[in-house]
Amino acid sequence: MNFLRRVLATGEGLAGGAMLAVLLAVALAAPVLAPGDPMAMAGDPLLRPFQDAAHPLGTDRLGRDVLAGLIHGARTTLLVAGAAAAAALGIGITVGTLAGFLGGWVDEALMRVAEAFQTVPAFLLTLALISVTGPRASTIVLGIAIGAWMQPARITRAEILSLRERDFVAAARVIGMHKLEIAFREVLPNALTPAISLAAVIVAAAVLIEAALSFLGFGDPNRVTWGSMIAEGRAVLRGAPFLSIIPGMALVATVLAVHLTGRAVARTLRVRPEVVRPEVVRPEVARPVLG
Amino acid sequence: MLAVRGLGVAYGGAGPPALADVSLDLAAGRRLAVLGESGSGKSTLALAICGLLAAGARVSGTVAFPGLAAAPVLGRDIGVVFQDPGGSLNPVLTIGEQIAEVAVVHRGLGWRAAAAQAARLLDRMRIVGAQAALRRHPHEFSGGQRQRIALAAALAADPVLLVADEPTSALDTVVQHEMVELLDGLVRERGLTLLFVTHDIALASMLADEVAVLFGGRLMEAGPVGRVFRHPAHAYTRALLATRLNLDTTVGETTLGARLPEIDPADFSVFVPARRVPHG
Amino acid sequence: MVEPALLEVAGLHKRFRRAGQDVTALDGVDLRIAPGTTLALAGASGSGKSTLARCVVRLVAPNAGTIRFAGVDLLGLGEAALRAMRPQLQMVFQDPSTAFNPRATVARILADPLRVHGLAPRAQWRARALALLDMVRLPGMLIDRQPHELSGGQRQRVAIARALATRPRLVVLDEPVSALDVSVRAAVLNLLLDLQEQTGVAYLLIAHDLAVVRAVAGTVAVMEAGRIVEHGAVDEVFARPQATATRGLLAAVPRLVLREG
Repeated sequence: MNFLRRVLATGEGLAGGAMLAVLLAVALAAPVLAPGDPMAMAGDPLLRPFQDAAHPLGTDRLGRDVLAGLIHGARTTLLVAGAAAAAALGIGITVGTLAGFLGGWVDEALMRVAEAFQTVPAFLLTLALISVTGPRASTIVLGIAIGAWMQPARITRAEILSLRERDFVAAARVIGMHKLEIAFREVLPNALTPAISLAAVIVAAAVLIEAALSFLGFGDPNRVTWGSMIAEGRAVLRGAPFLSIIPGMALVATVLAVHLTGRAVARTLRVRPEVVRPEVVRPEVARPVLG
Repeated sequence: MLAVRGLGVAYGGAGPPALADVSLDLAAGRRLAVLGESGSGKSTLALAICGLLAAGARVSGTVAFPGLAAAPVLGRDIGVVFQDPGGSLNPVLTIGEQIAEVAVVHRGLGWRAAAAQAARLLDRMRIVGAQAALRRHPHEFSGGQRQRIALAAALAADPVLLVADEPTSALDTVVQHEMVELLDGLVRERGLTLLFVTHDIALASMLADEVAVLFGGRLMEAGPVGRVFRHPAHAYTRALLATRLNLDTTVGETTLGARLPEIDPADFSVFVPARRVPHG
Repeated sequence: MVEPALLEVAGLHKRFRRAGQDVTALDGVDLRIAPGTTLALAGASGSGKSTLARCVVRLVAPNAGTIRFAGVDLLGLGEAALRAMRPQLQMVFQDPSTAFNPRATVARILADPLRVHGLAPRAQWRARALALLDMVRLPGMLIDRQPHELSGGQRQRVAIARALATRPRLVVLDEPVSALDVSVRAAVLNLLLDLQEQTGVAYLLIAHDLAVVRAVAGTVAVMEAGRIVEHGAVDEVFARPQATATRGLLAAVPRLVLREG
């Protein structure tokens, strides 16, 4: 986990990583931090924040606790965004590897498919899917994934194309490895780094798409999400703006955290100059620190 | 021309410095070979002299140019050629543009005059069809040709010092031979001062007047090339000379059981190992 | 009695398309290697020696000609049969810094050939890898290192160990010491000589530097423009070169000039 240490060593990595860690902790501990159903009426409606100890961030029109909504909303947001990004990366990287390594008509076919999907924005695609299946978290995950796999596919394919010509791939062939084994075992792990950098972008986009869908009323009605909270607050925006602002700030914080972490990861992954290792080291000179 | 005193270069983090306490002089019009292997600091020395060290480098000691009126400008007073013929040329521009640009930027030549000069330089570098070549891109040329083009660009602004970092290491022996003859001729014609980095002793002996031997970032010995190679003072230099592969080493299948002399890393002594039959 | 040749190449032709033009890399090449001997292929860059080497290990498919290895027609083999043949015919690449998966450890690099061909059960891989390291005179503690943690000479020794893991009968050495520091070239060449004596492996050595050829090879074939222009015992060819290409290569070998002063 040397890599993790180096990411945290940068200012961005530390800030972003800390925020993400808090978010993750909150999301995981949701049932403990805010027991009970966040959509249940917990107190008097429209309590202002910092007034009542039982409801530190106030309540909405129906008396639902804002803090509880925030905490459980974190869960949904991270779940949906995380799953969508993972799916997009999974599909994209596999497609990119096959296209880049096998080349020929496989490459052509896959890239045309990618171009076709490129023409449809993920948001509209998800809306279309929801109109078929009804508003559900799984549909949102699928929609975002289908809308976002092309970029990782392209980037992975490009890396694979350049790695394919290297001697170690030829060496693997001379040893007698199967083509697919070479592609996925030898080449792909070395081609992942640009796709990993994309992960942050995809997660951030997924967070916002999910929030927008919820805001429009297409989110999963059985879950509380920040988007739906913002939508709820729209009706009383004049009188109780905090109902929309607080979840809005949570969104900003999350996207910021993802963005910062992504930048730190990208920076850390950037190519380091090759350390030249001399053949002979004089006894009185300390051995260079390895790794 | 060049005076280096107590030069030390270290990069961030743990580990030994890339260079430590290196001092040498290079008189105008003379040729110095910086001889060393990987990790010796030879490239770092060349970069330090050109002022091309990375931002994080910590430099101690001085690099001075007493022969020049003002501090030298890279490109104008110092021409540089690197090891990798593909890396030092911009793949997007034509070679004519790249060579001419040097003269335009550093000597204030007009583009037409600079282009004419570029054609003359390419001709001198024995690039066939120099006029037409001006409009071509680096990838259309072979490795050896690209290296000569890089050399033309290095000389376009008529510098007084030419620094070459392993200019022939990426070339095969035939092309290398041509390159050495070319460098020799150019340096002579233009009265250039030459500093070149190499790991090849024979190359150093052919091209240089003086040699500085580096190991582990330190200067092992320096002096006129004839003296150093005839009567080496340091064990490392002796070892390099004794183990050098050349056309006279007859081992292999012709002399069954005989082996090449090797260097003992503990003290740089040279020994010929007996046949060792490894198990496995 | 003349021993049957281990490798027999006849009439090999290879054309590439480069930058819209047809380039002839191999223009009718014949050669022969006897078991346990070393044939050097010398020539300037572009002479076709690397292409020939790659055809022999079937990394590149020639347009015409035959390659017979241990009596088997290599070019006629299907994928499965070729894979079964691989253990006998291995290669060491020129640049040790790109010859390995950057993320693999030495243990994995050396176990790969054993794993792919089922030459040893998993439990024995590490022991076999250690034995291979010992064979190339590297300390066992390097086994868990990654390639970038080794010096160039160490990496090349690992490459040699990897090539010998399957006990091949022929190893193609593509410029085995060109990318190495001068102080370790002799040691690596000595190692190759020792290993040849020990295992009886034959070498096809690609080199542009005739000094390396002189150091390890018994026979040399000089290539120019895709053809073999001279062929014979190293002593003979170097003492009495016939072809212009050979003379050019000999003249280009850097010579130590010892001047006065």
